[in-house]
Amino acid sequence: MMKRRNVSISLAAMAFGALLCGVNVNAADDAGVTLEWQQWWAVECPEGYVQAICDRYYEETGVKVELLSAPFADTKTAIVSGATTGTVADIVSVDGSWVYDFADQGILTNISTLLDADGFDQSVFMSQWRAMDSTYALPVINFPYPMFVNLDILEACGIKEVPKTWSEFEEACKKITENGYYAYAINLDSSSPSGIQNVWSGFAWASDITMLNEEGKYAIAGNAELAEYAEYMKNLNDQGYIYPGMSSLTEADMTSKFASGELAFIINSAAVLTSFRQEAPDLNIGVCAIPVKDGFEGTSKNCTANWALGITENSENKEEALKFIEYLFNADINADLAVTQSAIPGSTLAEPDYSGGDPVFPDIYEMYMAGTPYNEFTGMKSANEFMPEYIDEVVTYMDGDTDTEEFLQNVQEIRDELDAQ
Amino acid sequence: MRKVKKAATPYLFLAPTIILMVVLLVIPICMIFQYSFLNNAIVEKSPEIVGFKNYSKILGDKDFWNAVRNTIFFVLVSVAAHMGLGMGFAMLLNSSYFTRKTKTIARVIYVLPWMFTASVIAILWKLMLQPQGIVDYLLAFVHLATKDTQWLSERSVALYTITFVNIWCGYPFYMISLLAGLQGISSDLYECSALDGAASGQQFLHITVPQLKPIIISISMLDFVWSIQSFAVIWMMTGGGPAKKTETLSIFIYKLAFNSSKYALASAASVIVLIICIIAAVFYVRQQKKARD
Amino acid sequence: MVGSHKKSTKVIVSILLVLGGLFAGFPVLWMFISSLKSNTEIFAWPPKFIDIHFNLNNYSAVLGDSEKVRFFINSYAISGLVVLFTLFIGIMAAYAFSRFDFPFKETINTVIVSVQAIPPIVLLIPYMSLIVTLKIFNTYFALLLTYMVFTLPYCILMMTGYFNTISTNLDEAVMIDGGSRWRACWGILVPISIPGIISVGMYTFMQAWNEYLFALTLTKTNDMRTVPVGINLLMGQHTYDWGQMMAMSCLGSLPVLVLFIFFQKYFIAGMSSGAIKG
Repeated sequence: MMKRRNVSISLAAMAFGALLCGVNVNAADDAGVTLEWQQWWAVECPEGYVQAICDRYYEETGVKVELLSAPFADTKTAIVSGATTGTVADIVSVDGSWVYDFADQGILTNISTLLDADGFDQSVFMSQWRAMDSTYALPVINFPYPMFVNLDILEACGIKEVPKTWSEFEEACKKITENGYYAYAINLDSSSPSGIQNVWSGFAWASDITMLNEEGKYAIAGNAELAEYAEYMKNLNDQGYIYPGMSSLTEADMTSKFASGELAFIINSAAVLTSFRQEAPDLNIGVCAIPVKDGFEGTSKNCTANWALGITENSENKEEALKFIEYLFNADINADLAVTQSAIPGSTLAEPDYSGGDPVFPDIYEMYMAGTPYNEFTGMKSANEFMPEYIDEVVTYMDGDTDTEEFLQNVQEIRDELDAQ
Repeated sequence: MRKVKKAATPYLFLAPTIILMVVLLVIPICMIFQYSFLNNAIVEKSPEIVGFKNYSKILGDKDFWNAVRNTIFFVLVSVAAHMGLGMGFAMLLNSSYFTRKTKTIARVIYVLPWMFTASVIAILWKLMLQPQGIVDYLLAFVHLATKDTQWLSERSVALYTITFVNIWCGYPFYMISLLAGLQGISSDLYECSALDGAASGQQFLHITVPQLKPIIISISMLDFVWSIQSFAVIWMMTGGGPAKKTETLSIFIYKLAFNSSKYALASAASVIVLIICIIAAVFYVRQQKKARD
Repeated sequence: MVGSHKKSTKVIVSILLVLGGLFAGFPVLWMFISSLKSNTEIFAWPPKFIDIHFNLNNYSAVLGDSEKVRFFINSYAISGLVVLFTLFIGIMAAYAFSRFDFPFKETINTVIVSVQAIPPIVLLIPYMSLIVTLKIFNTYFALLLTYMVFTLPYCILMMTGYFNTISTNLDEAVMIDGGSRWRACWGILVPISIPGIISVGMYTFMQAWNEYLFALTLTKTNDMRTVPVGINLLMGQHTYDWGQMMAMSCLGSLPVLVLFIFFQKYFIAGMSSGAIKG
């Protein structure tokens, strides 16, 4: 008898639970247009900042913008799976390395066509991300990637000036390591391969050492300058100046290590300044230009990453989506966003006032303006397949299993194979 | 009429399961089979059938075989260690050497690794294993490591490290299942054998193990399948690195699907994995049938 | 276990017990300590065990955020429902496998065991299309059904095993008295198998609770998401909120631990030898 009652109770509970499940709390019932925006920006900005922009937009135009979030590392997966099942948002935040593949796969819609129909003044956009001769994404703000310096460590090691050249950098690393600190770190984690772009390549770009040659072709094998750079880095690693555990070091590990005061130099986005100030308010942070090759006189190519937006092909409100994106290029909105995030505006109209921002940022801004913004991986074909393979080659090279020539040859082959597909 | 009802009874009991599995699992798996014969899927607007080309591509890819080697090591060592640790802990928890209170506390502590999600386990161990992490700190005291020993980036050690972490987070499953089984072994059996002069070791081999055999085989089978699939912990600790030393089949397939967007190839590789598991499952079911009869 | 209780054996066994405890518990202790530190302290060298700077900031950040609290509620609701449904359906299936012989028995059994071998990452997109077609995307229902599919094989496997150790004489006794198969299953076998059911139920709960990939993909809005997704949302582009992640993890496991402690007595109760061995 008791057993039967228990079973009945359980059945009732399940039936009730099943009823609950069908209830979708988020049943949409809107009179106006609602745009969905898949992004990771809201988490990086101050609490409620991005939502406030959306609320303002709603007040001004009656169009609601709903923020959807996913962890940054999984946003690409979320967009791809959403696109193929028709559930993806209207507006998506995209990283530079995804643009080509998304455009190729038909996930992003051709913004050039929309812009032409819209008649919007395109000079507002400082740059446009193009693939296959059309624009697919618009960078809203741009992040410089300077070299952050722990000035306290430098002082403790008796280093008077921040290093400007490769040999000065090596000298500084030697002194720092002798004093028991870590000098430099390169994050070569495969699951989120930003390090190969910003840190490994970024250091090289500062001395105008690039994978692409003047004709726009990948000249990696036999590239003497690249070989020199690789050997320089290998030397630093062999001497023990680079933080151990490169291949499992994520960007977050690296920034946290810097914030804890054990690491002297890292290359990272200007945006981390906010979190550094929060986590380690006593840290004496300075910035310097990425050391250039001895004797280098030209203009540095400064590594830049961007927060860009695209519109999905699935969207039923493409024109409305474009209007919202254009709204973000408003002088005051764009400028404010740039100052809050320690970034450079992507709108030519914006005139940001950095006096209220981070004390170190004006230096970053100056260095950024003195060079040209550059990122070979933005709009690169099959970037997400290339980067982990490139990382594997660097790791093998750093371990001494391949020599410089082989290393570059391997990378060239990988690149050629991807271009041929 | 009665006979029909009698024959239909097992199917009725099985009906909800079958409906659920067929609709939610068999259909997508058929879709995956289909993808594996196309030149590309999902991202390709008009795919063409290419027969077995994807399979031959996969089987000819040296990265695939690298993944297979890593997976074999990972799975076999994990399953064996899970079994050993699980059995050991279960017996400790079942022994009469300790008071009930001690056993209760120990039981709770031993089951802890199970309670956390894969991301957290990966992040936690990564924090512990990083150079200058707590593991290096403690091991430095006993001179087994220096403060800079790299557990996850050293090519010769990385695979052992992630296998170790997988063992750590997976043994409670065995422990609990075996404990439930141990509780069910009648103490009469042990008493009789003790009277006959059997030592503890003999008791273990001749009573405990045979009694637990069905459970041991069941959970080993499941663990085999789950270990092959294990993705999150490895991905978040090493991402398959350094230089593909910890790239198992699940990571290999993930990279194919989401880094290279080659879903057809990924589907082909998945089908290969599925076939291996089906073969293992067939053996298992035959075994169960024999044991039952 | 009956045997001689030599003192030396007791010492060895006790040492093993303690070592086992350290092996299992130390990382969890470290997690807890880390949840009391700030992000930079977690990375400090040398690592600190006790710190005067210990604070509960991470915990208040998690508990004070209604969105995060919602994650916990969703997780427990979904996991609880998954356990109930899986046990109900799984026990029925296990009964069929244990007590009957019927055509296709082997095939069905093989299929059930082996389909879980399909790597979830590849299953993801076709599966998602299916969920969208069934119009249950971004609901509890989608996750409930998904997790049931993942946990059923284990449940069926284990329950079949447990049922196999119970003599069919008991079933026959019920049927001779005029009861149905249903009665035999739920009235006799289930009560005897309670320890087994509890362990299967616990595992099902853990599996549903800890799942991340499908929880992320099958939900769109944060009010439908679960704790693992919530923890991963703390991983930003350049920095992670380590402390909050640890805090959220500790908080999440607490009620499960409590449940486990509560249900422990069913393990201790044991099963009467007669009914089992028969």
